[in-house]
Amino acid sequence: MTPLVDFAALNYIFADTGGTSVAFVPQDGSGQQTIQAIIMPPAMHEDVMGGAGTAALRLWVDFASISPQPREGDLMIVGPATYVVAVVEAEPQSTGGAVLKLRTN
Amino acid sequence: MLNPALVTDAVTALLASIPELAAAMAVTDSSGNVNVRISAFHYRLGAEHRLAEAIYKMPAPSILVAWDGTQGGNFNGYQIWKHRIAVHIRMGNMAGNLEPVGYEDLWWMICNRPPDGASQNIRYINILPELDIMDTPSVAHALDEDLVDRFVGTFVIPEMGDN
Repeated sequence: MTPLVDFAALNYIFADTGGTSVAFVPQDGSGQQTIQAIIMPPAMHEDVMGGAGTAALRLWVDFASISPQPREGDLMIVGPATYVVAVVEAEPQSTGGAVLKLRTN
Repeated sequence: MLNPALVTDAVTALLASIPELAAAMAVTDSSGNVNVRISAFHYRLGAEHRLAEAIYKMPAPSILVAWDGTQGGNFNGYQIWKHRIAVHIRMGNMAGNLEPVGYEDLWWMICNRPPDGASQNIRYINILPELDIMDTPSVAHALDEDLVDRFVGTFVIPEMGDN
């Protein structure tokens, strides 16, 4: 069924407008690249505001547009902190996005 | 009764002295300093996070040792306290690692590898002079708030007499 709104086509706007620059280090050796990601609330709030410095972090990314697509074990550098991708939760294909659950490496 | 904080600290120090385990929990920071992430948690409101938050914040890899309670009773002629110590384990990122160290390996190291300078493993050591050797330890699977695997081991350590 064709979605009423093609959210996937708008993802780059969401990411560019509300996102922050994150260094993505895939484990396939293809080299570090910069992606735009939106910081989301973690499962358990910490006493530091979301973003660099927290032990666990969630990022929304325009998953379909990133190559290679992030997977468990890849690294994300947010500010001074390096995180490992612990969980990838891809959204329905119509949205093209995914939530990456990160943990301090 | 022995202060459980002493038991917690003693278990933590002993775990950190197991060479294979310490190596698996070692991380080199940006300054080149090697940090072995095996630490004790104490219930100090205002000075420490609550336990649930401390577990959630555990980086990978790390081990957090916390007092889980003390069972009182007349277990035999000279044991009336059994201290229960929880060993929360979070393994490191093994992506690209040719010799990955998983939870099975970490628990095996804890139970079977002797601490530095000892001839026996932690199960047969008097962790403190006032403590008897521990009951056979257990480990169980758990999930954190992000549904990521973690494990928690349990040491039940009888106290000798009433200190």
